[in-house]
Amino acid sequence: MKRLILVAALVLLSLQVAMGQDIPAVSLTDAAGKTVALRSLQDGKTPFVLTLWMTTCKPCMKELEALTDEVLDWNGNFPLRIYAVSMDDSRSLQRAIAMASGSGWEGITPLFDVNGDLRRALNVSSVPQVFVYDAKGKLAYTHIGYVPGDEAELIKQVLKCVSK
Amino acid sequence: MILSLLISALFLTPVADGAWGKLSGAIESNTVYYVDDPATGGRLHEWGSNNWLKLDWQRDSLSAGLQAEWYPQALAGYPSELKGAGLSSLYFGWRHGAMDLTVGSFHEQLGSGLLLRSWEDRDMGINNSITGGRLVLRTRDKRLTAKILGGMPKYGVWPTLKTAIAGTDVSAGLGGFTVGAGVVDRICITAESGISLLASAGGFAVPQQVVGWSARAGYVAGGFSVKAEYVGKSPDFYAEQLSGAREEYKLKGGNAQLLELSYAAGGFSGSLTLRRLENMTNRIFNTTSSPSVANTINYLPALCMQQTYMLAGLNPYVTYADGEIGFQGDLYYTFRRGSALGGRYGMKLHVGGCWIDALPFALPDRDVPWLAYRDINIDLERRWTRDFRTVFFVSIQENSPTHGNRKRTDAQNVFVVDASYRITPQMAVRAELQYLYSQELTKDWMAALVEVSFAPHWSVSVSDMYNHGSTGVHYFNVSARYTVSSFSVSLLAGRNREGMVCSGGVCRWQPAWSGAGLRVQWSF
Repeated sequence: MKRLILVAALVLLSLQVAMGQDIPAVSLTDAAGKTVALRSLQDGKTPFVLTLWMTTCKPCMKELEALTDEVLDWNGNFPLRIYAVSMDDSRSLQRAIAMASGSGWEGITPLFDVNGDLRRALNVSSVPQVFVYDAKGKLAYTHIGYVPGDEAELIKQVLKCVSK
Repeated sequence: MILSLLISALFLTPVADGAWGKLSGAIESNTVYYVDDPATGGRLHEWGSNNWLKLDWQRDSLSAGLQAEWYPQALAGYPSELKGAGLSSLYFGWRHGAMDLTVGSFHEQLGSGLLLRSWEDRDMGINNSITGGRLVLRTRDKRLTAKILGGMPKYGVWPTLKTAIAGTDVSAGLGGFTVGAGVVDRICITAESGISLLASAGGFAVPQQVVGWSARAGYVAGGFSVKAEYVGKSPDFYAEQLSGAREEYKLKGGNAQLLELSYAAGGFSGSLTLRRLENMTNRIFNTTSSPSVANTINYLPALCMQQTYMLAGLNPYVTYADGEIGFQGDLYYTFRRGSALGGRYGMKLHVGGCWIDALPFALPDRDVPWLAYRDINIDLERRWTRDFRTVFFVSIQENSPTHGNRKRTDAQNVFVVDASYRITPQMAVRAELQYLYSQELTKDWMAALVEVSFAPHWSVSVSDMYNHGSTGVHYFNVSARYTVSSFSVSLLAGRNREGMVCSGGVCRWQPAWSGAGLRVQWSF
């Protein structure tokens, strides 16, 4: 038990370094099967949002619908870039592509992490989980789970990245 | 454990300035205290606890990491080999240009996973990572990729010494075309003595090697895609079921065929998957005892969509790897905002269906396939205002409790109304009403759920499933969750029925339990 407490304490201390992590050096695929290097999403000018989802995750669907509203209502002076990364494995890939295409997530770019590389790199244990990366490619915000209203905090964090 | 402490201590300060690379990790703990409950048959043990610690370090092209697991007493229903503490993963990686080398533990999937898949699913208790080495080579344009790997698969909290795996895979892409092929050799180092005896009784020896191979091709153009894969497996130990609960032991090969089609245009999309399996079980090692869900080196997920509403998921389909054929299809359509049916906020329609037959040769005394599972489901989601939405869901299911071994099937129809309303920008309430109508099994059920959330940190829920058609038992649950950043803690309490629980199409048996639990997840 003492060892467990010690490990927990060290992990607590290391939480301070969670923010500022670089974009992981992993590759995803788009709906056409083309490889997309995650680091290529960094444009040096604007932040971007990664939201990780699965076809069997109901809160993920609700979050993506809420983010669609945010994109449609967006009137900021920079583009709101949101990438929805499916964590579905090969079995559900076709369904994930179909769902992403047919669910009306306007303004959200679907990507696919079939081999789980991003999931492992970001140590994601449950979805949905969102990540906001600033223009320099540093992690600025992350949040596990979704409840209605979380999108307001997310947009606040995106705007904070730009005002820095 | 000491190693994890050292790594944490060593890199804690330097990480901040990046001079020594980046450290990331995750901790997860899931503990349940069980109580006696006469309504569900008492408790299996007093408590259970599954715990994981994962640490990863990366600097430029170098990476390293470990995962420690600790099961002082595994949660009820988890594989029995998960006990004690172990270093389930330790790896060192080097990436140079188009080359990727891993020494130690890794996860890998070849093709669709029918040939080889090593992965982790903590809800299932699966982590069959391979400890050895893997080399991935790519051409600069990434059109050609070659992999070669070998090692011992993990079973329990350490890699097993009973089996070694070696494999190679090549894939190539040009324009919208992709092709690939792979070979995997499972080498039996030590066969279980019981299996050796059974093999002797069948007049053969346990094969030292079981070789699997696959060929695959795909084409993507515009919104259309098609993928096909064929997998074969050399003769392996096989216990054929005969009538009268008798078994005959023999050597038997396996094969699988997979075809996936999808199309998307505008607000419409559809997908269709067809699959046939024949003796495709490929265990880490053959055993006479009831095989663990984690005793596998390939991925044979249920073809039917995993339903997420409580009553729709009561009797999920589980893959019958000895022999099945079937399809799963889905159609999605979004009625756009501003259209006549879509209204101001749009409406979504999903129609899904699957049909699985058990192949006759996999069953005793049978010459025609019989239905193993069928599910036709429709869900319609309508958003009435910015703050109020509803989902109507219907699932018409028919399943064979014997996987098509008997002609009798059980039918059940599930109806769900799911409504959510945002009271304030931060506070929302969601409610589900569910009804399952059936004249078989435990007959009719009803269920209700209420969930209240306070963004961005809190959510609480109360639910009850009630079997009023037969047993009269209530399955009442309450839960609360607090989330901040990448930290989440959940408290839950209630009664849970026995049955199959599934994740990613893979299922395990969960005994009934009552009690209270604490789950902590933290990534950093």
